[in-house]
Amino acid sequence: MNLKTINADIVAGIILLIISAISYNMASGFDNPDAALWPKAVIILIVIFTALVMANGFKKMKENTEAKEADFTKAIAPVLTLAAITLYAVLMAHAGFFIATAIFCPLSMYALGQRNWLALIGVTAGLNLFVYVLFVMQLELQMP
Amino acid sequence: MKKLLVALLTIVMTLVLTACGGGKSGGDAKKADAKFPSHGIKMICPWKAGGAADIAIRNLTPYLEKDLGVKITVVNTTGANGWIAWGELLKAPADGYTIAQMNVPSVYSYLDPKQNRKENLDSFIFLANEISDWGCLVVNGKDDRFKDLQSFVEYGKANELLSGDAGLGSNQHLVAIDMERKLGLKIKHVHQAGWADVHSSLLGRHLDVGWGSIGNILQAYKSGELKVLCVFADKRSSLLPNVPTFNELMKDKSILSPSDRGFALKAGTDKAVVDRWNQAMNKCINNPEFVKKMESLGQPVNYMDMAKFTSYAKEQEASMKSFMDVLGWKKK
Amino acid sequence: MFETVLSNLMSTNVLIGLVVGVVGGMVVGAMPGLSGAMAIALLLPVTYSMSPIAALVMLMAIYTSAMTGGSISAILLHTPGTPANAATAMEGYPLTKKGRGLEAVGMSMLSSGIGGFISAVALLLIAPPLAMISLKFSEPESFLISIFGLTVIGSLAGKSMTKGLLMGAVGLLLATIGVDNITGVHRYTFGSDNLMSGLQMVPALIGLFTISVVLSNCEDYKNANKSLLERHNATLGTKMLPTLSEVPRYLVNWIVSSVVGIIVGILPGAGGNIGSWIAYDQAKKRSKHQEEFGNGSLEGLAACEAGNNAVTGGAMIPLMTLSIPGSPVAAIILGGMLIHGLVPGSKLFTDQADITYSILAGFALSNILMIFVGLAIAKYVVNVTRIPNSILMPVVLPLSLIGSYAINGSMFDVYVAIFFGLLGFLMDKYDFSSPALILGLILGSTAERGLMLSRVMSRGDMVGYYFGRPICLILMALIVMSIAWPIISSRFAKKKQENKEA
Repeated sequence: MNLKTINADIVAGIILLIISAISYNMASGFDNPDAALWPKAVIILIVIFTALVMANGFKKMKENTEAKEADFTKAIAPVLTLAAITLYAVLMAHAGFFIATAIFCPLSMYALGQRNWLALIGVTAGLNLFVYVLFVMQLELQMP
Repeated sequence: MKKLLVALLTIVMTLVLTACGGGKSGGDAKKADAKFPSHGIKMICPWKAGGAADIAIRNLTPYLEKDLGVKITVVNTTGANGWIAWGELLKAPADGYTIAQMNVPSVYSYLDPKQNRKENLDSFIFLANEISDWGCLVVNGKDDRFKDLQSFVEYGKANELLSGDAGLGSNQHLVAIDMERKLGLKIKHVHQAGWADVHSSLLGRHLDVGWGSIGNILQAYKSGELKVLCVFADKRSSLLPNVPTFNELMKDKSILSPSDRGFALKAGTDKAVVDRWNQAMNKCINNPEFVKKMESLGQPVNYMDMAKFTSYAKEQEASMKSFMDVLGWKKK
Repeated sequence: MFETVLSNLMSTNVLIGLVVGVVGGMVVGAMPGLSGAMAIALLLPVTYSMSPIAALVMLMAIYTSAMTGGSISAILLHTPGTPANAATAMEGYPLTKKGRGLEAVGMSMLSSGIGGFISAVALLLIAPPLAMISLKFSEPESFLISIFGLTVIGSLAGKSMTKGLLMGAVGLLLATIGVDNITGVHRYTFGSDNLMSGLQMVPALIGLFTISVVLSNCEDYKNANKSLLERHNATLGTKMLPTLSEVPRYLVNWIVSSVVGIIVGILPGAGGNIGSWIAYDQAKKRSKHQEEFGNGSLEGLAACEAGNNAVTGGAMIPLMTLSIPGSPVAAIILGGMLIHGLVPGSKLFTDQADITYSILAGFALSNILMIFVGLAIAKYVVNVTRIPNSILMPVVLPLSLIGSYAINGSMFDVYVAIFFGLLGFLMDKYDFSSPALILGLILGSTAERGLMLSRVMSRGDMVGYYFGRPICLILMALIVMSIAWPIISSRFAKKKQENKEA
């Protein structure tokens, strides 16, 4: 069996089975057995459905010999985006929303291929202003 | 590929700036001002916007703003039974510019060893109490099994009662346990999601008895849909003058069920600042216009000054400790 | 009576309150994370100095138009403002991709207004008897309603039913995180304070719907300078409202969905969140164009929006007759009523009838006004689909993160949103239904509480308890029908075909 041709359903199934096993085990350790009743029932449901999904996945793998090869180059963009979003969130926690956005917004626009300087500056300023007016002035919400 | 490079650059830049930002935010703790207050104040509400606790804050802040002469921004920071908000208060500098609502008995959840809290009552200055929303014993208005507390207790000793409360460890649950222990009632506890569920289950006769605060039950009591057999307060409430207290009816026993909304500062706040707050609270909470407004919202004002609120909080802590086994507050 | 109501409504104060409420509610609703509850709580102290009619008309106008505002961002940006708008995003966004964004927004405004209006009329005319029905419901009924809600997964699952069911179950498990209200046990909190009150719904929703779309748009970064329409080779249609000949197709749909919304709205605890889902499910089961569902169906959209705005009027029924607030927003409105000396109960409809009926008429009016305001702005907001992704994504993302933050003022919720963003991205890629997961997450705690509490309330005989309650029997029948319906209807279709061939 070629590692690259493994069906996504099966990978997801394995992950879910591991999570189910861990959470079932944790549920057994709850102080009050009543608290574990519902989670355990739900976990059993998950295991049953996972088994069905995996069985389906194996069937597909057998039928479909030329399974799609995972294209790892395609995964780079979302991973980078996710990393950028996470860093933005961390920056937000430490430096505040407005500074973080002033940095993140133009850089990500540039990264996505926007080269119009007016747009880069205008949109960033407009966004910060909008959030300031709505969140801080009107609704008086707490900001990071 | 060029675009990917730019994306990478974004990340690096963000990282560098994060590091800078992190450094900056550490150093802005200020020394106590000579003249308090000189700028805006942050008031933390540990509960969701729009709830009874939030209403208690948002109605008082206009008066406080007027007295202190600065802007007060109310912030709702919810979670961990109030402790996320109190954690915020204790993280902020002890300069009086951050203040939080303090709720008895919610604050005692630090006694639960599973929550691993280093803080306790001494971490705070119990500045003033604003509202005391006492608990009541409530039954369906047309339920003729229960004419008064006496008939309720007799029925409850002989028959199992289905009792609705707002969750394990809620004030309502604790008073039900107190009744169970002190009067020998047989109670099956139904921990519903909140008063609204208990209320409709009582009206629909799905439950025998419910426990609600004065603020919860006032309207339905006035319309006669619910009967209030007693209130678990130290004296009769001005909002329910015809309802006897439990202690009044059962002379040899004592059950109180407080739910208090007050205010706390971080321990170690400058004395001058605390005094200024104390003065403002005293004036605003006792403002007759404010008291009237809160009563129309079903929230009985019960001002306690710093000394009284502090000793009261200590007393209540002791009674809370007697419930620790029921609440499962023990080390694993 | 009628004249008093009319003259009460025509005062400048009331009209200003109405307009401010509708416009303000719409703006707040369109922002992910900002809710009507938040806006109402903040405005409450301001309303003390207003006349009671103006104050309450404004608060109720915010409530209903915030629900509607959420649909705009759901349709155009796949960003549901509230859980109630999640199904709207499912149907509306595919339409936007096809250039029919304006039509979708127009339909949503119209349906919302109609749903809200019908619920306001119900509130005006038959509130007391409806409130009596709500009292028949308690914990066992809550449990069965949740289960009924879960059968909606059958309509949402998309390509694979088993995967949809699996995701629904995963949602149920995620809903158990936090301190259990019944036993006090800390479940799956890993000692974190942030998890004690469980996963927050809105950040999860923002992650699954919005951030996942941002991620998949960035996957296509080579086309980032193109707008959504350009990438799908679509042009922006100019049609906004259904033509007169199309109206009959939606008429029954609107009425049924509104009735569903009202009923779900009056139930204590069941949560208005699922009104739109059940209405959607009903519309799909009755539709002659089932293949459009999940792929941009105006019928589905109309059902969701009529359903979720009808919840607003429904939720006011137990509030005004019994002083039971069925939702957080209703609880705040109760405060607004009390401060003006309006005490819920039968007196509200007799002694204070002038004021009450003026407020309710104002509420009905706000739903009509909302349609016009919504349609007026629709032409402009729909242009966001012309903005290139390289500008849109860097704006949508900060807004959705700050929205996640704003709910509880917690950075943790922001990280939750990002986590669910990744999860949603992967789930979409491999055909695991994220609406099913959301539905499980919404209904999980109600279902568990209903089941565990009815176990206590039944005093040991659970089967007898459930079968002894008439509403339970009806609900059980509904559940069976809901599950069996696809099988029955396909049998019917087959028979029809056979008949035709014969």
